[in-house]
Amino acid sequence: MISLRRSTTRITALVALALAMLAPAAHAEISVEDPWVAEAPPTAMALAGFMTIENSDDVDRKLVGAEAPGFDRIELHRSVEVDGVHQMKREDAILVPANGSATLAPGGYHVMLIGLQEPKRAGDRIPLTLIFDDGEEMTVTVPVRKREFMQ
Amino acid sequence: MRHAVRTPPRPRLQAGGAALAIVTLVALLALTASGWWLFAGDRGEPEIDVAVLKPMPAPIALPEEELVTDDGETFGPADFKGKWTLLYFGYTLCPDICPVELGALRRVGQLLDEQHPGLAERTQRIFISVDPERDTPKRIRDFTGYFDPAIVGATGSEAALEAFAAPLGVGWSKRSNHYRDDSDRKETGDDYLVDHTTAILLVDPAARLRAVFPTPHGPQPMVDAFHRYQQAVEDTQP
Repeated sequence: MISLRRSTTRITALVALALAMLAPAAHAEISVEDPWVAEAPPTAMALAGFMTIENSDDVDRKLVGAEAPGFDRIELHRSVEVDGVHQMKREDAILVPANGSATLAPGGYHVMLIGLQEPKRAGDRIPLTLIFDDGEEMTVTVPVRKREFMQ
Repeated sequence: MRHAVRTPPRPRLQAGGAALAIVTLVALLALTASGWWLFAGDRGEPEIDVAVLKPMPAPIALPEEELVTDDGETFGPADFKGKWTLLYFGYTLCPDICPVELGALRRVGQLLDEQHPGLAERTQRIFISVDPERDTPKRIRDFTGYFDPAIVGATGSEAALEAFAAPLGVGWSKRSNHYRDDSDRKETGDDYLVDHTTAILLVDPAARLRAVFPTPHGPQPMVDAFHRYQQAVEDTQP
């Protein structure tokens, strides 16, 4: 009986360990690929951030906001062209569909970092906290890069 | 092609018309492939992908309005004379699209230098800010200089800008409450966006709007279309 109790304890420990290992995986349903912020001219008062957000979960998720030190505020935006006129729209949320992804890229959805308090140059890194509709927050380190045509 | 048909038949080519037709066809295809015939025609109508460069139904003279360059010099249609001009309207606080368009203008300049240096010497690139309230000449110079110091910046009074741009089909409007919420109204009272025309305009050396480059602005297709169009126009209208 003693040996059985011991093995029960051991199994309990193993289950606990397994659960502990699974726990981070539960947060890995959302992942961020290739985040970057575009270097801007010295006149810029806002910077645009881009990335691909992947959702391996079976339920839709929404990016609803973001925060970063060194900026007045961050908004979610989308560039659109209507009848030859360019407009930028503020979005309340960016959908990251179940088992799909959302693409934030120049000329489309982007994270707009508004009111930068000091200039950013290629090579700088910005800790960007993404906020999702279920309350999950995820901080990614986002490098500032020159746009492709400036390289 | 008629020229080839009229060539006196060589005696040994007794196979005759069929062979000549094939030769003619091959020559036609070769010339077509080279694109050479496109602007060698007598109609003066270059065959250009209108998705890249769309000619105006008729040239439109630039309005005689007085603008100002980023050096503080007065600037108007006379400054367009004698050169081809790629002209883009935007504003320096434009965070997503204008950098892409200025980047395209930068790359177009590089490609012209590499591929058509003669034309490059006769081409200028101009950025006109439609946001004079915030865009001082110095701001504009800092903005264009980041992309390419050779890009000339300009702006003007709101009235002059509108009178200059409207006949060219270029328009814009401010959206003042986009970024703003009441809590930071004081801090960001001048924080507005400007919706504006995305096309890049092609102005000829007589200071007339001749064609527009709609989006997307792929630098190499733009250079190809511009070179072809310029050759066609200057071939038929020296």
